[in-house]
Amino acid sequence: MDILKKTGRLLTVQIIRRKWWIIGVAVLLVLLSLFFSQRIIIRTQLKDLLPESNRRVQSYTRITELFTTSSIILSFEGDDRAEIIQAARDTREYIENDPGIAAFITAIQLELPDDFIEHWGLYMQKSDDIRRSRSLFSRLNLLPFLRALNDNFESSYTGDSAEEEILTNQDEGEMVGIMSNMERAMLLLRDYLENPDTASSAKKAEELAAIFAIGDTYSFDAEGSMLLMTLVPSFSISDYDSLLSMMPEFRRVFHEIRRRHPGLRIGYTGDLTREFDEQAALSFDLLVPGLIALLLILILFVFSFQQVRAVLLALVSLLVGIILDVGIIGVTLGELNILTTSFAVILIGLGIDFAIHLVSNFTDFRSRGMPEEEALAETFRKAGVSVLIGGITTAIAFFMLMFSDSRAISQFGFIAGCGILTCLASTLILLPALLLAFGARQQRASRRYIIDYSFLGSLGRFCQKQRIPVLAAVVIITAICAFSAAGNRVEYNIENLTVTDSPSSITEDRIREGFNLSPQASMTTAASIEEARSLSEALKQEFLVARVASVADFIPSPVESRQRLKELSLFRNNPPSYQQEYRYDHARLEDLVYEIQRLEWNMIEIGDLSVTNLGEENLILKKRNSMIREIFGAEVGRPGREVFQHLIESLESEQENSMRLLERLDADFAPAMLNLIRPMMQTERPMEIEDIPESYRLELISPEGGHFLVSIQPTKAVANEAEFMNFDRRMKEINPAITGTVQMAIDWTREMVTESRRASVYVFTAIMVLLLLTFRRVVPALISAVFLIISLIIMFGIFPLLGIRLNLMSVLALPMIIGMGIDYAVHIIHRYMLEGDIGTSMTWSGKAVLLSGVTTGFGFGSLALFGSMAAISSFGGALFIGVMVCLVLTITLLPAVSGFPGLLRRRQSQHNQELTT
Amino acid sequence: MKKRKILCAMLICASTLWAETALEIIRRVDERQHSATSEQKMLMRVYPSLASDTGVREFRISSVSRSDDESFMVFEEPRTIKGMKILSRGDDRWVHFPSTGRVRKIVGESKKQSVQGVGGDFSYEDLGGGTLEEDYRTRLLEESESFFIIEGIPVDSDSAYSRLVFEIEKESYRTLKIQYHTEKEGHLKDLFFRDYTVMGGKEIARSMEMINRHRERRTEVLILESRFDGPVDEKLFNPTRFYR
Repeated sequence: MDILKKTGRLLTVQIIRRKWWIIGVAVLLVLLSLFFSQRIIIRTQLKDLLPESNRRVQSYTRITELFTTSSIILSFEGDDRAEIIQAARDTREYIENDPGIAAFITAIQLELPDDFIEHWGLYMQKSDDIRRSRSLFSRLNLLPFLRALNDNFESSYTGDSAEEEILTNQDEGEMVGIMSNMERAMLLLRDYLENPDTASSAKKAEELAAIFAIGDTYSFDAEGSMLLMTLVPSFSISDYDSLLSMMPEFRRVFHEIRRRHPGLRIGYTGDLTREFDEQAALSFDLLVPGLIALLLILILFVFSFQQVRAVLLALVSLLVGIILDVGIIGVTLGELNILTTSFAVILIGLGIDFAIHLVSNFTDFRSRGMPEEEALAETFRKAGVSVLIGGITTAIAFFMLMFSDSRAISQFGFIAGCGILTCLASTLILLPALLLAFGARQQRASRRYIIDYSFLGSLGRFCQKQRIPVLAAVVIITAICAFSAAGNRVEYNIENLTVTDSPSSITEDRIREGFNLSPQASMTTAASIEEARSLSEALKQEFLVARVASVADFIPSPVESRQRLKELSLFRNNPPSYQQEYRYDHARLEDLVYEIQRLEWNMIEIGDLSVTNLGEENLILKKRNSMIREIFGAEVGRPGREVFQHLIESLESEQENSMRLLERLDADFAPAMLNLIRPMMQTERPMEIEDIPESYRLELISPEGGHFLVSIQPTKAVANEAEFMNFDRRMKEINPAITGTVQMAIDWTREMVTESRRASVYVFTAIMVLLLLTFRRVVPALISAVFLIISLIIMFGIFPLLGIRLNLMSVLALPMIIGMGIDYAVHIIHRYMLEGDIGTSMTWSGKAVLLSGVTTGFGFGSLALFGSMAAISSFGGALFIGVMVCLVLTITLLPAVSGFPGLLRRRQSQHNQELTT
Repeated sequence: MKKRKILCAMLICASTLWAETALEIIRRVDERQHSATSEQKMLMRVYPSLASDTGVREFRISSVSRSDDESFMVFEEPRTIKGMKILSRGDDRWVHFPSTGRVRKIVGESKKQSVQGVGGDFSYEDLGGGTLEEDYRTRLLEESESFFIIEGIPVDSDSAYSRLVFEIEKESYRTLKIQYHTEKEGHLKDLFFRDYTVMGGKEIARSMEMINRHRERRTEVLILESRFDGPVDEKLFNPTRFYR
């Protein structure tokens, strides 16, 4: 302590002599820091935050090195399918020809290429399905085809010896696709019958044939109102420079596309755009909450101190401290992450504390008539030591985090620790120089309202006098909170912690609802196609897996391939045929009506059967209800589009006309069907990797051909906490190498919880040692320790009561509160041990402590209220609660403890000095 | 030589005694659970995930069974499939859809498949009739104070299972648990029988729970009402009349 006092005296002398020199050096350092700050980039990827030894990070890194896993997804929504497809095609053409964006895009996935379908359309089906296709396509005139179609449905799903069951989410998706095709076909037929002149029968016939022979080559949702297009970038998500260069071009192109198609809702999402949105949000969080906190602090200071100039100078010194820290980041780390972007607000809240004590004491001494230099010397004597100790303890708390294995936490500890030291240095060196150079020369009584903090002295005396009830109340509250703290839960789902109102997030939500997909894809690699196939098959059986994509979707096993080729050769030997000039009389019209009715029955019954396997909330049932009607057993519910009944009505309303139009259509329909099917029948060899469309090949196969990607998309059910964890567990059981956002989020959260606990122990130990050295007595150090423990119990007890869940950021509140909360206790205990009177101590130091706590609360509170990322705002919220709890206990519990004689007695040396004086 | 003959005779007697004991136990089990006919109302809940109730499907079903392989069931809930009827006779099944009024002959054969999807983790084989004595070759694995543990190897080579293990309460011959094993998956499922109650003049497990360990899902069946050995309407087992 003597060393510190001597240092304080020396510092005072130097500041008084060299104040202008100090200010000049500070300006220079600020300029240098601003220069180096330009090097800083913001990284938001989870994999950058976990230890590099983490297995899933290693797996993820390896996969992203081998494959282009990043993407941008465009969604096109509207009521008219043709308009949606046209808009998507326009967009594709525009992007391919725009020099600004084309350089960043390797491939665009909108539909399966026509030439691919032409060659491999039938081969892509399972051998059983090809066999059924032989009977389905044996007679291509419309009526016999529909009859065969119904027979096919009944033999597959609802009729004699039905073989298929709708068991998995993939089955569900495929059936919805089939039903969508039936709906399109019925709508097309009806449109043709009712508006025969809008397009030629040949065109309509071709479209109808394409629906039946090929199906839908686009990625529409179940309702057919949302189409997805994927842009495959030429760079990986780790290439920030390319990302930053691409996004402005992408935004320009996107706005142009929207301008061209005002009738459609067009959105974008994907990991690249999410990354960019998160960076923007973090940039916002870096600046805006800090500015708000500064403004609130300024307002509070204006009403707390006579000297406004001193307040402004305090804020200047704080800003200098923060800018110096930014410079250190620029020189050393060169980056910020999701955790460290909050450093500015934290430093505002914490760094101002030092200035508050200094300014508070300085202005008080000046108000008593002391000259500036004497006031400064007295300030250092009375408050300097505790400011220094408080700053060092807080810095130690942060530096302890550097021992973490997590790069994110380690960086956070370094940045925050350095920031505390730069703010401390700025406060102890620059601020006094500024006060001496620019502070008010004469004390003028202000006409402005100034908050009277003397109530703190009264409160302190009251608590000291009523120490037993106060202590009892604290014990009871602590006990309740200890019980409540057992209800703390950890949030693992990263989706709940990121930006929720960005354009990417909004589009993501719409895709989630439309396609029953979670955007949190997982992935792994396989060393062979067979391994990819085996993995895919296992994954498709999982309840929480919506889609699995791998090269196995294209290339079957050798055995299956032989069977398919065999079926195709049988197909060639018995090719489809049709009757030219197929006539429709009343009997055939009636038969056609019957087959359409039968088709409706099949759709209805497939819907019923889907309920038994998938429940009432499945997409097949929803599709059925919307395209036909809602059905409950023998009862009818809400009307649907009645696509089948309306077609039947159209057929029966003008029978003669219908017959004539059907003949005309059939004359083109059957040949169109044959033209589509004949090439597909000609496949005589197995598919090879080179046959896969390029965009899919790039996505699923590594450049050297030795690795095969298996991409897994979970259902939206993983938004539920239990299913989120269950998904991780099931993926691990199937293949421990499966990695992705879900897995890394869980690992990172677990990591943060572990590191938080570990850091807390380090911080607590370090602080206790420091307090013992400072107080040189066990009792005050012990009281501080108990104060801290009670604060933490109450803090963690409040969280469940307010419905707050811990997450990967808010768990860091624990070590931080240990480092910060102790400051308030140290100031009061230290002042009391000097003054010997709680009223005096609370009046003089209490004001500074209260202002310190409130301003820190402003800092964290602004993060909580204005942070755009949920993780950041929860971090601010947890810290806010912690700081407020520590503050309240400081001004109530400590005075109560001081009421027990002998616990916090004045130091003997101090006492002796006063006696001799 | 003489000693060898005596030893062989003793072994043969012992093995005969052992086989009889397992068989006798199984016969006692069959006696207590067998009925010529049964009528039941049940609640079935299928949990696609063991971890939570997400996606749980609930069905309220009335069923009538006679002989070993004839059963009729009708869905009362959920509302979408209310009135849907399923008739099973041997390996054949018919479904009546009230939504369309049609009767379709559905899945022809596979015993492994879940009971029209509804059964969740109960396959046709699991719910099939027949006696344990006829369907399995049995062996007593273990005997404690309270339980018999009996292994059953299916007689039918088409069975989905390689072996079953029955846990039977000694005092009452109630079946408490059955483990289902397959060649491929090993220990595949566990069926628990709980809450034995007298219903319709017979003591039955009111609650059954099948847990599929491989796929981590489960199905619960709660018997709400039960009647045994009463007269049943012949019409219910006629494919051309069961839906009327």
